[in-house]
Amino acid sequence: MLYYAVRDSWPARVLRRRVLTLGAAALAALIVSLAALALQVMAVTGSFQSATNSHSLRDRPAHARRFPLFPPVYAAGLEPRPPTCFGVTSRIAPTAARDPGRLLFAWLMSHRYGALILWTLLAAGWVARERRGRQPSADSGRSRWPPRHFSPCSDAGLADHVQGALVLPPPRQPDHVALDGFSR
Amino acid sequence: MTAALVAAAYTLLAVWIHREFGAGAALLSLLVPLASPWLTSFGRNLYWSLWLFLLPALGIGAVLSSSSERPNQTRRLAGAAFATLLVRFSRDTSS
Repeated sequence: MLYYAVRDSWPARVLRRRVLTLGAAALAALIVSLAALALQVMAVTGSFQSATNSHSLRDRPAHARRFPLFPPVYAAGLEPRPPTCFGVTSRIAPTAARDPGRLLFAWLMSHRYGALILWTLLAAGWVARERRGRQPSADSGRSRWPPRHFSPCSDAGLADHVQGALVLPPPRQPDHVALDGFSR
Repeated sequence: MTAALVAAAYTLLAVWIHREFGAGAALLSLLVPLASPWLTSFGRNLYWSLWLFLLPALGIGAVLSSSSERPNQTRRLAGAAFATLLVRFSRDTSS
């Protein structure tokens, strides 16, 4: 949304309205999803209290573990398990590093965020350089910046639209106009 | 299925970048995920559904990239944001 706000030069009131709309939609989606989760838990355990306890487990896990909040069957499902997803990533780097012939691949597969940031910065710099040197054409087939089409949020587009709308026929000269407002 | 959805999400992202910035930027944007070990590690993970991280941005971007002269643009934006974020939050809260 911020990208389009900058690209199309949205006025502040349009940006404010759309950000508020987005925030309201996000809040509504969060409430509905939590309600659906509560209904799911209630359907499994038969108690709405278990649903609220499930939320408190997410918010205050230490408190929830200290005091038994759930029926035994549900509590067994909440028992902590050994991590699985992080165990997968820790096996990648040593495997790649043992093979000296694949240094470039090992560097690409390294866990350093610096490599990703470097790639991103290179891509952003290249795009900025392309942007500065490229002249927009009418039939380029992709978005032009700044946009020339009419957009209620774009000053340039609005000016073009007003110019087009103001092409009026020449004023018609009245052949007879009475001074007192009545035709003769 | 998760891996296919991750691939589809990144493909849609690359298509959007191609529309906005051109083929070179799209190729670079495909190269960056290729160099990401996190993507290959979590690409098929059922817990960390990476495609859901991109889903709200793709949905909202699809609405905003369409013509802004439509009278119900704000309503469409709200609908897309609610639907995509609901899917995102539902997956997050149920896991």
